[in-house]
Amino acid sequence: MDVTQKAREKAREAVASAVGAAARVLPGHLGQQGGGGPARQTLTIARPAAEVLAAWGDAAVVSRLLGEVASVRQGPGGRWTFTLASGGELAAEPAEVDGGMELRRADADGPREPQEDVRDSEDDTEGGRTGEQPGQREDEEVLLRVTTRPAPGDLGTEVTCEVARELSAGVGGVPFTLLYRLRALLLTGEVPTIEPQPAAREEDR
Amino acid sequence: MRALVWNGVNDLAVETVRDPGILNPHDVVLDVTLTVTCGSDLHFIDGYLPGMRAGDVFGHEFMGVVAEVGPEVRRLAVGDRVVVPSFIGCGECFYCTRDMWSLCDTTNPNAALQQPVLGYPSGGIYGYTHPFGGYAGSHAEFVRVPFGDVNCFPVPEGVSDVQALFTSDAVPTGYTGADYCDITPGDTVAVFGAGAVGLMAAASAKLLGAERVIVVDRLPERLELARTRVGAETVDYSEVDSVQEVLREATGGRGPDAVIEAVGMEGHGTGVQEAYDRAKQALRLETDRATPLREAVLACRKGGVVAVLGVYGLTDKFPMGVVLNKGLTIRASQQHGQRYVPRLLRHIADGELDTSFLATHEMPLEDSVRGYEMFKEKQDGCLRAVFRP
Repeated sequence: MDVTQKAREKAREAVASAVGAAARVLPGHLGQQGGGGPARQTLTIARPAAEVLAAWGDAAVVSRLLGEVASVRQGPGGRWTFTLASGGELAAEPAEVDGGMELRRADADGPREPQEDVRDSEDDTEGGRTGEQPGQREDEEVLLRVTTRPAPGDLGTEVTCEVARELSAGVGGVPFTLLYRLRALLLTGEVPTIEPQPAAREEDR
Repeated sequence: MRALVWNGVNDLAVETVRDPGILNPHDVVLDVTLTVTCGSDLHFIDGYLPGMRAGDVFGHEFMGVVAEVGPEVRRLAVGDRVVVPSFIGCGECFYCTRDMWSLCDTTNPNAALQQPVLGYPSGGIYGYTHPFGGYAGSHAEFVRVPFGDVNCFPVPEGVSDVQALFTSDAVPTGYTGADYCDITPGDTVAVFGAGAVGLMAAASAKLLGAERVIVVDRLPERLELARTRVGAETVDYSEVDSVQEVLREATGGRGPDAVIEAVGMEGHGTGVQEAYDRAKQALRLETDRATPLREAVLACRKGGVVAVLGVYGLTDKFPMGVVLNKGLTIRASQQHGQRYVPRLLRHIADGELDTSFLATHEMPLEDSVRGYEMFKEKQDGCLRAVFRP
C-alpha cells in the first residue's frame, strides 16, 4: 500500500468515525430517522391518559396534528384514510393496545395480518430475514402507535408516539412534532402556527 | 403594510407585505407604536446565526396599541396601550406556570428544528430565526401576538411609550441577570458590556441592592452613560492590560461577588485570543467570539455567580476547570419577561428606573435600514435605534 492509499484509508476511517460519533450522540435523529424502522418519541403531557388517548382516537385531531405531512379522514366502519402530502393514500384501522392505541395498515379486505414472525434469525435458512428483530414484521403493519404511562408526581402522562416511515419520511422529527402539537392543543386549545405569514416572499404575498 | 425584512446576510429592505391577522383564538394584533433594534439581531444579519429565510420580517422588542382581539381574549380590548415581552409564553405549560416563560413548551411552531440542537426547544420569539418559531417580527406596522392575555402588559399612565418600549426586552433581560446574582447588601457586581442590556443589568443590580457596580466596555460614550445614568464605576478594557487584575484590585483582592455577561457571540477583546477567535469565526470553525464570557468566569470571585445574558451558539474554549475549581455558579437564560414586566413598569412609574436614555436615535420605519447600519457600526453614539412604523 503506497502513501496515497494509506492517506485515503486514514481519511475514510476518520470520516466513518465522525459519522459514527454523530449517530451515537444524536439518537433518535440520525440513527432512527435515517433508518428503515418507525420514528419514535416520548413527551410528557400534563393531562390524564384518557384525555390524551381520546385525542388520538379522533381523526380530525390527528389530521390537525399531522398538518403539512398528511390529512386524515375517518370513513364507514371506522377505517382511517391518510392522504399524504407527498402523494398517495394509506388506509388503516384503529386497534387498542396495552395502554394505548395503534392504527394498523388495512387493505380492501380489512386489517392486514402480519406474516409469521421470525423469532430467531438463525432458524431462517431461506435468507432475506437475517438481522430482523423479534416483532419487527408485526411492527411494519403499524402506521401509528401511541402508548401511555403515568408520569411521576403530578406531571400527567408520558406519551410515546411511533410513526411509520411513510408518515415520517422527508420531514424530520414527525413523532416529536405530533406530540408537541398535541401537548399545545390539550394545554392551550391551540396548535401553534405561523401561516399565513407576513413576509416578502412570493408565496406569502 | 410596510415592514423591515431580512433578504440575506447584510441585506435589509423596507417592503410591502401582507397584514397579520388573528390565526388562533387567543391572538391579538397590535398596531406597533415603537419597535427597536437589538444586538441579537446582528447575529443573523451578519450571518453568524443560521435559520432565517429571505423575506422574513424581523424585530422582537416593541410596544403598541391593541388593534384586534381573538374570540378567546379576555383581559384586553381594542385601544389598550401595551408592551410585549420578546419571548412568547402560553401561560399553561410546565415552564410558564413556573415563571420560566422563555422556555415555554407550546409556542414554538418550529420546535422540531431546534430539538436536534437543544434537545428540548425554547419557546417562540417574534422576528427571529426559524428554529425559534419563525414568527413575523415587530419592525412593521402591525404584529400578531399569540396568547395576548398573558403576553400583553398594559402600560400605566405616566410611563411614556419610549420608557415602556425597553421593558419588552432590554430591561427584563438585564434584570434577569441581576436577579440571578442573588445580590445581598455590600455586594459588588461587574457587568461586561455597556449596551442597552448591560446598562439595564447594571441599573437593576443597583435596584436590587448592590453596593458597587462596575461596567466593562471599550466605547467611551457608553461608559459615560454607565457613569452618569446608572451611577456605575467603569473600566475601559482597551486601556488596561488585564481586566481581571483591575477588578481584583478594585475589590481588595477578592473579585466581584457576581459578574453579568451582556455581550454575546460577537464580543470584542484584545490580543492574540481576539485574533484567534476572529479567524476561527470567519472560517466558520466556531460560532462565537466568547472573550467576554471567558473574562467573566476568570474575573468572578470564588463561590460567586456568573450570569450569562449574551446570545451564544456553540462556544469553544469555555474554561470549565476555572468554574469547577472556583466553585462558581453559572446561571443563564433568555429573558422571562412576563415574570418581570409589571414590576419594571412600576419601577419606571415610581421614578426608580430610567430607560429613556437608551433611545439614542429615533426615526420612521422607512429609515430603518439606515438605523440598523448606525446601530451595527455604533455610529453617532448609537446605543439603540427606535423606529416609528
